[in-house]
Amino acid sequence: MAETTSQMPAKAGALLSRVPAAIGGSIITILHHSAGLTLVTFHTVVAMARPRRYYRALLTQMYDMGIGSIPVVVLVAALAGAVTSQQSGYQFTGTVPIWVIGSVVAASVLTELGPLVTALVLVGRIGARIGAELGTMVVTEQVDALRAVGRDPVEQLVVPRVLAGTLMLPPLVVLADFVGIASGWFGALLTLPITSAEFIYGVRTYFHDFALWFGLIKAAVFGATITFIGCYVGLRATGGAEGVGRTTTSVVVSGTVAIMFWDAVLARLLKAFG
Amino acid sequence: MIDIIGLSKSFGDNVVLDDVSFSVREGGTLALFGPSGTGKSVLLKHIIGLIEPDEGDVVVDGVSITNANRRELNQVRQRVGYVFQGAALFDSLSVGENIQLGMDVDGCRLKKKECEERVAECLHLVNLHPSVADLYPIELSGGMQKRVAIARAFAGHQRYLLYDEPTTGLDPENAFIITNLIDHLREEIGVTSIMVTHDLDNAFLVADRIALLYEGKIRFKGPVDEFRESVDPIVRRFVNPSVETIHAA
Repeated sequence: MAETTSQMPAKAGALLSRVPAAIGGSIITILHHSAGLTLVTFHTVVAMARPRRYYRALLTQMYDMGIGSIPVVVLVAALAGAVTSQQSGYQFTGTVPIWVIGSVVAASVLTELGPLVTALVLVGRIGARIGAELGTMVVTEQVDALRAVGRDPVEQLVVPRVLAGTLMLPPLVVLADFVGIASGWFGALLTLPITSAEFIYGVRTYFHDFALWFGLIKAAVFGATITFIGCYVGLRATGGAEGVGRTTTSVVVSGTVAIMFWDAVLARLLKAFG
Repeated sequence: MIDIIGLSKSFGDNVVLDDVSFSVREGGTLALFGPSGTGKSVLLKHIIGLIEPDEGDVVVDGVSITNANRRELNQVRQRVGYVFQGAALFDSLSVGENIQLGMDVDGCRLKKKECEERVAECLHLVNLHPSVADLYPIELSGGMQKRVAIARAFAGHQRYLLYDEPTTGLDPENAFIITNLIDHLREEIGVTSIMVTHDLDNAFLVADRIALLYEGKIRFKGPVDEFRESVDPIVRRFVNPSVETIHAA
């Protein structure tokens, strides 16, 4: 026991001595990724100037991200809208006018649930797929093969995906908004003492153009973020199947954090302008 | 002409290439041997600028790869075809589209019909039926994928072909087919080749020169006959592995 006690300060000292190295390592990693993200962003923007080289891939990606995501977006938006109307209905009944439920559903869906839930679902559907796809291309030397035939991997792989994500998220969010409000309306009619006229009055009372623009701007930023993170992390994959698995996890985690970060930042920025 | 001049490359503390120099003459086929993990593929990737050296240079037709700008590098890459170890065909593209990628940087600039004819011609040269152009890589066997990868590598009339273990993972029959194909391409098209391989028998059939990379350095370079008759114990271990390994033990 005495020996164990005497060893404790030494162990604590050894652990403490590792702290500066760990902090330094983290700082270096952050700087490394910041520099990498800046360079790839710059490269992506420059490569966008040559649409002839990537327009076919862009159309394919737009179809896949847009049309392919409709079922899951509709399902999640419908559930989110219905849950919002019911939860707000149970809490508001008897305390505020019932038509406020329409305002709450419209405000929640247009500014937050529509863009945010759609983006979070698509982090899994699109971001993870891009990360796994590009990660596999890296570990099977397909990216090297692209460079070997004189193609720029950023131009061929990153640009079409980032552009497709940026262009397709806004229409998907409009669809999610529509489905979310409609399902909130039907959900309220089925479970709460509210009429259609009251619900619509509530929606119209809240609705203003900026709420829609606010959601669309967020959607475009989220779309660019999801796809860019998928590409950036995917192109840095190492190892074999395990490496691709790590890449996919990393895309989902970092994509989710980035979406939440942008949501907080954009809420402040856009409300300041709105 | 490909000149490798004093090439050195390390990954962390691991010195992979240490002052490696040799040349590949026009129209010749050089087989590059060496134990696994000695940097043969790394050396090959330096030739088309996929990896940057720590020191030294690669000069292809008078163009320094280390100092080349993007445009010059792409021009060199149009002259050098690369056959990757795992074929590295693009899963999302058909065989025909994969081969078209090798034609030029902007895709097939030829008219659609001419483009399809060139794809069919390339497939014929690697002994595959033109209908294979419509298939996807996942639908092909390993040997067929390797042949498509070779077709992609010379589709743009490349002057140089770099093969990274072209027969690895193939059964003896397919390995022999690929070896014959490499020899056929040298005779028919006159391409200059560097072939990284562990397959001594097949390499002896097609190579006119051998280089042995050992512990980061070129241990041997010279004609095939000299390699076979070398008395260097390290070379002997490659020429006659079972006997020499027992003697060494």
